[in-house]
Amino acid sequence: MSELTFTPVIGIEIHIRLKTDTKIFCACSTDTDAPANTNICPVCMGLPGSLPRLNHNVVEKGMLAGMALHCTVQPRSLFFRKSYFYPDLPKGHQISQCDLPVVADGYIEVHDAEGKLKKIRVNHLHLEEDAAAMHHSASDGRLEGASTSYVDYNRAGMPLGEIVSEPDISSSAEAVEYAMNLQRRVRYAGASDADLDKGMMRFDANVSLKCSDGRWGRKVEVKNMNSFRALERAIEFEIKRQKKILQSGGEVLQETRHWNDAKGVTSASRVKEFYRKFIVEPDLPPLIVNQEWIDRVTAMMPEMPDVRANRYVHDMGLTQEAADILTDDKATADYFEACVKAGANPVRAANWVRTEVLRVLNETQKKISEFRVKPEVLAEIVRRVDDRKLSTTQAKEVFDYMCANDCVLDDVVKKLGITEGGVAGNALAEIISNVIKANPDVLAEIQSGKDTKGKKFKFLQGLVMKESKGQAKPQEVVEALTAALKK
Amino acid sequence: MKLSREEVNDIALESRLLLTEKELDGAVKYINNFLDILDSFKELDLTNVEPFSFAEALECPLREDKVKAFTNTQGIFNESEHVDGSYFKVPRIMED
Repeated sequence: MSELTFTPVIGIEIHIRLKTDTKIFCACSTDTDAPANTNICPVCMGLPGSLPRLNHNVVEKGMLAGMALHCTVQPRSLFFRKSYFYPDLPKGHQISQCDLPVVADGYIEVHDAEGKLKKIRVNHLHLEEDAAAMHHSASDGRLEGASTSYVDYNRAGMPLGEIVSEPDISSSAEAVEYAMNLQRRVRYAGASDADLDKGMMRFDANVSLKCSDGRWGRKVEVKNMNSFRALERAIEFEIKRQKKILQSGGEVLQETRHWNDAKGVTSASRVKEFYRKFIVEPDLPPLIVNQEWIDRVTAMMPEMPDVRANRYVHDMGLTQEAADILTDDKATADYFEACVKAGANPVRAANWVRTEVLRVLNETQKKISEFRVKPEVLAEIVRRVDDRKLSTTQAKEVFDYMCANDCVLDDVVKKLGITEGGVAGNALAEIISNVIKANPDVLAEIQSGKDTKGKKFKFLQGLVMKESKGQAKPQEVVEALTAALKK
Repeated sequence: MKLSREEVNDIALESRLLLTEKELDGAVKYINNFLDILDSFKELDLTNVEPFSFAEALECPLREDKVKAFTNTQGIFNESEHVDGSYFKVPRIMED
């Protein structure tokens, strides 16, 4: 009997928090650091008589996120009430676009197992409101055995975009690349900060297996992954679990499973699945987006990271690896381009940014916007190295000093005792003359022809380099010293 | 389309309605009669007719993204008896 093979079939739903100042249907702030239950009002608390009013900016950020994923804006979309009964949902229903979304039909590219580019289709992005945050703990802070849950409605009504992929993903690696690419793109578009640590990006995965004997496992929805690592591990666990069941001739149940990150397992969700009853939201007429608005938002779209990286490779001569590193974060790419615009050679500026700038940012845990060395200054340092005014070692010394201190380039060069253009000509001749005078015995030995191996010459050469603080060019030292000894 | 007694009972529970056996009989009959009427719509040719959602030709009004804090949050707290500090309290229902 030939061995059975299994192909994973994976679709991902990603919620991102859209970057706005106010909630989706009311004027409450979206500040995530606010004390519990301070950003609440009758609308997001679902009090009788209150009416939702859609935030213009939520629609715009949804369009930007959709465009970043190659989606098309839908001229007419609609809101529904998705009803279920739970304390995190004060109205008893969530307002969501569900099946008639504001943008649809896009894709994100990832690399398959053979390294080839593969399109993962994005079915749509729909707008919806977030539910409240629940804290489950006993009065002594323990989770186990707590009898009460505490609800913070600050999160109720926060604007979300839910991005639903087609089941085109075949491995956990593809899933993670899809999610990372999505994060990078919506950040570039300015649609969302997509900060995982702040719960601004959350994943659900639908995993099933296709068996080579024609059997098709049922779809299992895995929830509660809050990091890329968790997404990867949860999918891998689920593939293994389902494979084992199918191999032993069993049947995979269609169910919702919960990822437990600490234990590294998924387990059947004990929460009863509610009937998700949908009706059209009677308080919100259809959302109409006209062509003028679409054009305006299209004009707001910045160059996406992959297009930018291609430009760096083809127009500036960077390697693909360097281009990918620089474009990973928009602020870093902007910094690099400002450097080039200020006159730095692109390849050398790229090396400086990816090795020195990113190193210092990583060490100091700072953002590039807080970085002391402005791109124009780095460009000047790079240019001085090109013009041989500074050696690479000196340039790094200057750069490190400027990273740690508020100062001006020329002052730093002076302060560090650097002679721009190096020590040469008369200055070098003077150093050589002093070194020879201070070492008459060595001079005598060389002149008597005893220094057959050139060791004494090297000794003097070393002294000259030391006296010039490394600022003399070695070749010039050899030439000038040879000439001086012949005198 | 016909709904079973169990399905109607489920819908009633979701609507927070506890029906007696007699009331359930009545509800099953009432709902299925209504569904029969809807079935008669199948005779209509609805090709190229968009699903109905709104009676009036309105567009969704939009709001500027400007914070306007609600000042009477205490009033909202006063609506609930289940408050602990700055939190609303509910019986624990979530799994670990």
